[in-house]
Amino acid sequence: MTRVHSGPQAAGEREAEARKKKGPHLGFIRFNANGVDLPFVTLVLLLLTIGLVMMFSASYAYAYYHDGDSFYYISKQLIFAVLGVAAMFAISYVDYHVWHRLALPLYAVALLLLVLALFYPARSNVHRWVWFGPINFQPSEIAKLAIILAFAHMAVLFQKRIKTFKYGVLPFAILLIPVVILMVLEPHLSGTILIVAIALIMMFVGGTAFKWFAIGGGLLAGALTVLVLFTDVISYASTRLEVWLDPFSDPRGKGWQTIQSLYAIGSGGLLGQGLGNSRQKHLYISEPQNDFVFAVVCEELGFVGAAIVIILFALLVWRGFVVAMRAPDSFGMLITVGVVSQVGIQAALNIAVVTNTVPNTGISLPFFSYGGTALMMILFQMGLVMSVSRHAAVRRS
Amino acid sequence: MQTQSKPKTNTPSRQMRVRANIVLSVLLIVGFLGLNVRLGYLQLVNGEYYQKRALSQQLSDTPIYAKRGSIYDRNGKALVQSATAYTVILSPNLIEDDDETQRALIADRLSAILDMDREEIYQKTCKDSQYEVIKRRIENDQAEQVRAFIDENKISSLTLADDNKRYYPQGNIASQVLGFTGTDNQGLYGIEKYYDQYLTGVNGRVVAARNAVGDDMPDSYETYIEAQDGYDLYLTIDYTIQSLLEKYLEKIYTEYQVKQSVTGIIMDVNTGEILAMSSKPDFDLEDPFTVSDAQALLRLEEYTAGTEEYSTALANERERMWQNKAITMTYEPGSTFKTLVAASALEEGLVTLDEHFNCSGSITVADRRIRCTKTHGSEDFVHALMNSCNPVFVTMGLRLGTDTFREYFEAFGLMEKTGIDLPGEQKSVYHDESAFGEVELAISSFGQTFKVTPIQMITAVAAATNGGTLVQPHLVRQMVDADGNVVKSYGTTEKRQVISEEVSQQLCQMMEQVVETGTAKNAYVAGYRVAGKTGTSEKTETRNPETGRIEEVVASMVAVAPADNPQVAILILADEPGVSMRSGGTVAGPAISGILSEILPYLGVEPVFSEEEQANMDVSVPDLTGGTVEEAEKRLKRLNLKVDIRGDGENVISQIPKKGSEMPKNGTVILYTDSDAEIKQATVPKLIGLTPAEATRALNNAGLNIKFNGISSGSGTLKVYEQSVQQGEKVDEGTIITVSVRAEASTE
Repeated sequence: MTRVHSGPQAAGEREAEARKKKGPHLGFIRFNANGVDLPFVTLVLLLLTIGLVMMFSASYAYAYYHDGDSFYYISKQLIFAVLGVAAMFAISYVDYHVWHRLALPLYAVALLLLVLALFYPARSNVHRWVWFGPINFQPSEIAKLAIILAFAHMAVLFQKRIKTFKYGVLPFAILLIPVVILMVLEPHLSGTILIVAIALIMMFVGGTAFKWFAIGGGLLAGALTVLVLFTDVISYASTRLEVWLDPFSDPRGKGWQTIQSLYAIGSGGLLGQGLGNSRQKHLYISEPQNDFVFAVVCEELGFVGAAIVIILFALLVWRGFVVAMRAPDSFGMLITVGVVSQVGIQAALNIAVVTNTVPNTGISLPFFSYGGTALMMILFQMGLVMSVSRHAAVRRS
Repeated sequence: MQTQSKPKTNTPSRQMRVRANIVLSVLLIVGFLGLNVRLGYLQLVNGEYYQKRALSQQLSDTPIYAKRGSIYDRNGKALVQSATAYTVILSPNLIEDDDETQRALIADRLSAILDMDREEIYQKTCKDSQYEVIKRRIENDQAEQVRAFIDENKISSLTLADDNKRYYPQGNIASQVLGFTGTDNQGLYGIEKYYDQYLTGVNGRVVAARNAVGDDMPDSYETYIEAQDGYDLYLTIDYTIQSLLEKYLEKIYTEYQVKQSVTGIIMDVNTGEILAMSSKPDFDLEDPFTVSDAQALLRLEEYTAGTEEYSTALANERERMWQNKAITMTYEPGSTFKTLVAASALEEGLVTLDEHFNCSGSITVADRRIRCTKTHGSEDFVHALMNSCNPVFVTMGLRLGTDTFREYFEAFGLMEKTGIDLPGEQKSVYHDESAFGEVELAISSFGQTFKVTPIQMITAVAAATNGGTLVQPHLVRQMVDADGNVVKSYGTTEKRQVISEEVSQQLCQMMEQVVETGTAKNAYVAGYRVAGKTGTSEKTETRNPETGRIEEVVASMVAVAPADNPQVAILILADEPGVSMRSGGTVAGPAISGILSEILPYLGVEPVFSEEEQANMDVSVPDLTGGTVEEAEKRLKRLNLKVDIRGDGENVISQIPKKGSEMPKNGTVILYTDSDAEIKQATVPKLIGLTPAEATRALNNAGLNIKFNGISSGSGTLKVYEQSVQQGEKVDEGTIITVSVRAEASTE
């Protein structure tokens, strides 16, 4: 970290100098070794550590019963965590402007993978995964990042005419709609909701006019009405809604996951059963290492522990936005807003599902849920934010 | 590189910053603040609710069965005890599908240890189930072998569960009183049911955490609450008396071809303690669900096994054998009830013992002619009871009047349950006050038209003879906990004074006369003063619609002894005897005599023999072998025995009957003096149906000796009904043939 104590004039000179030097680079990839936002990195590492410990605790019994090895999940997850952290730091040194060039190609790759996923054999009746040898992952994880980068790129590109439909709505819609269609085909409802939410936030912060959101909202409402009136969507959704409103209506079937989750949360009380002492993880919560890891957090660490985890997520989001505000340009800001919003929304949605605040939909908790590629992607995205923060540090000093 | 070439234009605009702040605020407030509130609600407000439900699924609550209390007789003889037993349980789904070796091993070894069919066990190992009972309630030694087998081969699919088993050290006795237990060790009938909560004890529990598939969780989380064993019961029942009663009831049941049941109760008249209680046919304690009575099996044969009708009939037959008739059946007591009418009339001063009556063979009440068994002519009140004369007792009823009659009826406890400590006691059936007119009163006076239970009847008679106090009958004396401390003692519950002591004594005297020379003389016991009354009541519900004749009777007799200081009361009744000689005295009398002659000495009542009795008493034959003939003759003469010498020797070589044999005076002892003298044989003549004198003559003529069982003299027609050696058989001359004699009557 280079600290230069000087006035505004000196700063301007330094920037000009930096531009002249262009710094170290590898082809079009530039590197930036300025100071990173320490609070943000600290929060990421803290959440990751807590997440790993809790995932280990949650998976302990499940892994023992199903795989005969309590360390089955944690040993795999640790490898990805180490790789992910390495990738995070590596990417943080890369000048994020390189993603201007890579955004649309990445989008194309994501789209290709989404199509590919449909031709891979279904797992649990859905086509969400593709795999090459031992590596398997969800293309939607890549699609999220691609949408963030592409939307940031376009918002910057069309900034002057962003209020118009032609530039403020149409290009974004053209990119988003194929992704949505492909994900609905998988089907992957929660992922679709998440990606649409991120897209909307990107457009909103990017500058798309309010009226288009209003018109879009109106159209959506109209479409929903048509759906409700002329299709069977209500009866499809109604069982889901019923189980949501009263999970005890089907305690052994669709309500099971929710009920077991609520039992775990309730059993935690104020201070919890103590780390490792969850009883609900003993095969009551189905796959406690995945979407319902937070229920085990609640049971073992109590309201206090669970609230601390939520606050850590909130702090991460807040600090992410601080980085965004300090970003030297719109592109850095938009990338950061997108990435941080994604983590925030995903965490909030997951906790809302676990607490039966919203209907049960498969969505994982960042840093906590088991899943190698998902963890790597999140850490990769954190690296992007860190990269932006390195430029912010330049501005700050 | 746009950013670097046009940095100014790419600086985030103010609008961007504002909008980013909006997104941040919404995320923080709606998302995280909202979720924290929701979480607080779930964990702090509703936490307990969810935790409770979570615990109920996480905790396995295994009971530790308390040992069920034992049941002893009044002298501490164990009648029912509990022993720890084990149940072998197999979880076939814990055996790997392809592990044929394991299956074969289990089937082979278990069939050998448990003495079971190998194929049956093998079939169970192949089932897809969590829980298969291989064998219930096995004993400890077998359980040890099974445990060793499990440990040796590490067979996780087999478990031994603790269980409890009832067993009966004295065999099958007092089954209907004791009752039995069900599969969960719960009392289903009798004492087992009535005192179930005390016998059961309090089960303990082991609370352990388990996972969703039922295994224990690895972390130890266990609470152990010790079981509290059930209390032991000491009954008022006396094993010796109970077995004696059952032996006689059994005998009556077969001998008199009783169609329904024979019931008997023996009770301490002063304390209400039941010394014995039984009815036949009954069930086997070890096997309470199997119907074994021949008549019942015959009835069941009418149904096809497997049909619904058969199941119903089988259930009915089981109910019949389980029911303790002493408290569940109601019957018309007939003439035995006259004792209570006599007591009431005497107490009210409406009659004296020497008042004279004239029986014309019938009496007319409100145009209804009520007949007597015969025309008794002139008789005093005592003889009226001895003769069981209906007109006299109708007169007594009329003198008492409906209201007073009912008052006494109620005072003797005949309108209420006795409150005996057994489940299922029935109520009596009697007239409504409005429907109780003169005719009903008249007929009720000799014990017809209303129905009482045997326990009510004996309790009332006990009150009438014990000095006038109605006591509550009961079966349990003491309740003792597992450490031997007495938890509760049950003493005498006196309900009320019904008649005066004086009247009670008068009644005893009258009833003694009934046994001495009246209809109950079969109950006579030499050396003891027995008071009694017989009854042969018509079962009106068996009236043949064509002939108008009532076909069936209840033959009963109630007796109290000793008459001068009553200790025990005994009631025996046969419901529908199937022979022609079916009066209460004929059916129940000999049994009562037999029982009393054994239990009175057992209870410590000293016999007092009258001169006549002493004269009639049997003598014991002395050992005469080895001595001189002369000496033998002298000794036998002193004993009032005759002598028959065979041979010319000087010394007695052998004798018939043998030394120590009991025989009546005037019998003949045959002495052999020659070693090579031939022992002559005699053919036993037919004795059944003869009078005592005729039987004596017949036997003497055949060169045999007679010995009487029960009464051998008295007024009326006495007849031999049983002989110890069947007619036509050959025995040595001089052998004692024992004959049973009774007074026979078809009605009273």
